[in-house]
Amino acid sequence: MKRSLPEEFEDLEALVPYWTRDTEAARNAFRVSCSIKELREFYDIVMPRLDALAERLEQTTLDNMSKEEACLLELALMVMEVAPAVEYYNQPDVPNSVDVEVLKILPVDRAYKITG
Amino acid sequence: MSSEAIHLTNDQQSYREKYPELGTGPVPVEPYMSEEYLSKECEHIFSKMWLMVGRTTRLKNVGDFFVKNVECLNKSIVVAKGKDQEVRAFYNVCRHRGTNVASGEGNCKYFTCRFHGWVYDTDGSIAHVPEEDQFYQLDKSKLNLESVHCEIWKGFIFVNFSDKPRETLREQLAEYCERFEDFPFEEMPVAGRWGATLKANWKLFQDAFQEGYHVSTVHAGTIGEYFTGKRNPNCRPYYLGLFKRNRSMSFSYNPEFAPHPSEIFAVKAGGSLSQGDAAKTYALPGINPGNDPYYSFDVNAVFPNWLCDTSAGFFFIHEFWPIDAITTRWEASLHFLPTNSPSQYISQMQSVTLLRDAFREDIATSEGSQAGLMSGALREINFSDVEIPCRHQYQVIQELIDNPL
Repeated sequence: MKRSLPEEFEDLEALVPYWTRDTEAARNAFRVSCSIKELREFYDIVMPRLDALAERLEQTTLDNMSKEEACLLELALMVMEVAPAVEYYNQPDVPNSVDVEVLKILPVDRAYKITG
Repeated sequence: MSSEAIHLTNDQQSYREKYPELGTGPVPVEPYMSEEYLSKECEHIFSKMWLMVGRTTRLKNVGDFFVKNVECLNKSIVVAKGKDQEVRAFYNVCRHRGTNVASGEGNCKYFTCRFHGWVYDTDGSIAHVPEEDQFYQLDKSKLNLESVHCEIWKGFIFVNFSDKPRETLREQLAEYCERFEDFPFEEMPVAGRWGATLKANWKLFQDAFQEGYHVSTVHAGTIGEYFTGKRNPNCRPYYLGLFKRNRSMSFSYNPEFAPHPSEIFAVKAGGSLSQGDAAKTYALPGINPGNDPYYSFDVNAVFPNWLCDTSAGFFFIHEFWPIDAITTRWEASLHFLPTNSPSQYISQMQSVTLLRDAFREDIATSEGSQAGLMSGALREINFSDVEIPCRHQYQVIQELIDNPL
């Protein structure tokens, strides 16, 4: 398999095709399309590695990321999107709320640049 | 009017004594559902006052523009950066026969009307009229896009639709100008931006964000626990100040809050709404006017339809635009101090996610309230002492309708 994450995170490689998205809107749309079981499985794998993941990413900066680092970052961003579903809601979407389509997630400038 | 810090667990009602002119009685439902009332608000408030329409960060380069629709006034404007770097606002209305010259947002060299191709420069001046010789007595000096008063404060762009604004922007912003003079709004990039068109009156929805009484119930599933707990079970404001038309409150965090793994990570990395004591690390000028030891964030209601909520290391804003009496177009965004650190950015996304999800809870209860009012079951509603900011908004508007500017 082609490597898309920094070497030391090879064990997370299988998650990449499913769990990386580069915008908040795409991450949220994916979260609410998953089952809570899927979200929990993802969370249970990546959350315990989050500190290590962040530590690795701190070797670079947002304006100077390799493709592999950006991919790792996007995995971490997905954990943050998934976290409330697992930690608070116990379901993919926020309960006692309006339909997910009511709130539009508007585009913002991407905060990180892939340079290598 | 002045302000004071309250004892959070004191059962005595205090604000009615501090602000007796606001009264204590029920408030009629008409202001929250009547088209006639909205037309008065449009005439006396939206047509006369400075309105915040966006940030200069959306206009970085020459030719950057965005369109802003103000549906309740039947107006559409273009806000653009000209070749001289000036930010201007003008009506999105072609001088030929009235068609819009721009839509959405983007960058352009010229605005071109899609109807017959009239062309305007990014400063609004007429650049080209196709087949100009076919017109009679066309005075091109009078064909620039009609301008709208436009001023900037701390990177926020305000417009005013009256011929002659009654107040300067600084007069309208009043106490906030001084208080936030050194707050680095302009340096703080957007982390998340959201919008919705919802079935609720614009004031009714705004009120959802200027009292803490609802937090333990509406947000029981999200941010509730962070803001409540034993010290402050009903999320009373630690500080509350009502001014001529603006108002400000500060809310505390729950010192006994037990963070989840994502929150523990976010606080450690820095740049989180639920940062607890770490707020002291990111303190910014103008925040925490009550010196709350458990300070979380300030709500700053900038009359008429803008909230600019400040805190340590971040701020978030809400715009409330009436479309009709029972429909609101809402826009919100969350901004953090700039960072080049990947882990801080990951932390910011924890806040983006949770705040956005909590906003959806507010939309749900506000649409529920509006549906209840529309049923005709109620003639009036009741505000408690700690909901005095909502009463203040109602009273200030009523005053401007009774005694126009």
